Amino acid sequence: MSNLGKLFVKARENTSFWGNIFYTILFILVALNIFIIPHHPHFELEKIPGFWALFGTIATIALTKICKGAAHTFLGKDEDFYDHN
Amino acid sequence: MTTTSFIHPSLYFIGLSLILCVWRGSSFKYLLPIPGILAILTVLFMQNGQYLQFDYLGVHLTLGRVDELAIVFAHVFAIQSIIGFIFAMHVKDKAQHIAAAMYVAGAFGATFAGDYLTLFIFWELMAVASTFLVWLNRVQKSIDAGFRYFIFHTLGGLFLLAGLLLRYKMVGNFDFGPIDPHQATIYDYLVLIGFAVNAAIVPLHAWLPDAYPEATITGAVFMSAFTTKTAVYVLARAFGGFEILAYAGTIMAIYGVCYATIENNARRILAYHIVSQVGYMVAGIGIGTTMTINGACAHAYAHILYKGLLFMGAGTLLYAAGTAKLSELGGLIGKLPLVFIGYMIGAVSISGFPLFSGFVSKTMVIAGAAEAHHTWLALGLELAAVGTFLSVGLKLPYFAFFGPKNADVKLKPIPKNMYVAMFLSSFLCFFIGVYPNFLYHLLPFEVEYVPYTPWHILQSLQLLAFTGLGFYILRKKLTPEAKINLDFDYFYRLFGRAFLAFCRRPVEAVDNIWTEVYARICLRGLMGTAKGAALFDREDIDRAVDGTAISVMRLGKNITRFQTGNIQDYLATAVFIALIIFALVFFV
Repeated sequence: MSNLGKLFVKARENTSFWGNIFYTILFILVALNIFIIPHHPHFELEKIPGFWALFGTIATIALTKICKGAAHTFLGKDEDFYDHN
Repeated sequence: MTTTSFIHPSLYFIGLSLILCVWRGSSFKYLLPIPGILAILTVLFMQNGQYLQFDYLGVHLTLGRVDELAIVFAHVFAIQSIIGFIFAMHVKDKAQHIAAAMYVAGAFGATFAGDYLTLFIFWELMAVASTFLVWLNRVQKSIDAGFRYFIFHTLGGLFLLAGLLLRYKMVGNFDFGPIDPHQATIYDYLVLIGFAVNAAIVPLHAWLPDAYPEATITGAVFMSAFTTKTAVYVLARAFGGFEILAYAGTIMAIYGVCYATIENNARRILAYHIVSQVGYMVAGIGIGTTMTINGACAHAYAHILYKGLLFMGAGTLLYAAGTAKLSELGGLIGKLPLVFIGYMIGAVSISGFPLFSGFVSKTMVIAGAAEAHHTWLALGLELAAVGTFLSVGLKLPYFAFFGPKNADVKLKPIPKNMYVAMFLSSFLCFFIGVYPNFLYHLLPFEVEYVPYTPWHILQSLQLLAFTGLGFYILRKKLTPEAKINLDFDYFYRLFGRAFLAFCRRPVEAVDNIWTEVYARICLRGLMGTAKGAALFDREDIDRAVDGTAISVMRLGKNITRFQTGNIQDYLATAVFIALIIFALVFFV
């Protein structure tokens, strides 16, 4: 394993450290949104600080739930489905 | 010909494939990047204008129409062909390189075509050559996928042909230019359907995620760049402002990411992302303002580079580990750190992270949509951006490189040229991200859009970071499963089977009757004549004709050698003969 590989593997073990950094970044991004607002909002909601944060989170959860739901109910088939259908 | 100062870049690639046909030994690999380098130099020195015009059978043809729109695409096609061939340098199978070179030649030909007929010829050349890139993977799955791919593209080509012939009947020329959305008629829409097949507009898209994952590792890198982007180019040329495309594009953008979220095969995830990303371009063309058309071209340029990089990353995984299925990969970060870095640069570029290429092009389309008062379309495209980062930027690398299980797969060593190609792509993705004017100067219209404002940066980072949060919460739910997902190709296959059944029953019955009639009447007549001829022959000219007979027999033998019964061989021969005829017509 190369040195770079070892570095990545080591970094990966340190989950709580990276988790804390990640949450701090999320907090800073929303905090900055209070001061930095769009000059020409494309629609009214965009003026609310944290709108895009909320949009991102909700969209991710909705996409995951809906798509995985579809895959589990009617889209997902065994890998050899087309061999005998 | 009006001037001789224009060299058609397709010639370099056709030249390469001809040289490869006769080259002996393995040193040909050093030739591979040369046509791309010559092409980029040619494109850089091109002047706007109409070149290589001539009349053939009363039809006025233009092989070299050069303007801003053509230049953007030719520019990135040339760069990507250099990168693609460097990535493929270790491949010893010359047929793959020949197919790739002909494919690129087709893309350049279509880009510079000034009339529908020239466009159609190169369009079909691309279809045939890319089919070979699938077939040359040489496993049963690819052969089947290649046939499906070819049949579907033939269908698209027929729509295009019907449209252009009908148009010729009505208008009297083959001029290929912008169409007024308010005056479009049936033949314009037929052409649009033909283009829509190649642009993978939903529901005509299913050939793409069906065929690309089955192509050769290096072939997929080429295919990700040229087919759909040539289609984007012709749509931008002819169908700017067609509102239906604005909606179709947004649907594509969301549809692609939905499937990418649930797919298991890394290359199929990326294939669905082509559908999604081309959706942005199609939407930009459909909205039709100067800003969104600029955005579509910029996005096509950026997309070719980062999508090539992503396909190289996934291809390298497949090359090293022998599989591209996420359910069989995992924990490769320690072993393939450089592949991970290359892949991630592609992933952050496609997701539109500030400092990378997607950011300067994608936001242009979205902002353009919002400024044209298509707020819902802009929101749809933002939703697709979330899905993009979720599936390509988080899910795929997480389960391939980190992943809950540490798969103990044996890895094949990766050739250096693959790393070099990935490095070049990574550099360009970053370079365009930090110096967007390089790209903006190439665009067909003046650019007023400024990507790096505090608000744009903050908005993008917020959207992406909170997508990350969503992924972190739901990462267990997103675990890839060893399944396939039904798509519209289910209906294509249904239709195909119905057609086959039709051929088997009524048509076969008619054919049987005809064979019977032929055997009874025609053959008997023939035999009778033959008997007479034989008599005449034995008596008189046996000696004289002996020599001819032998040579005819030899010819017959040689012809049977070509008649292998494989459609692959027939197609290759047809393309070869077409090229010779084309060269004869052009130069004589």
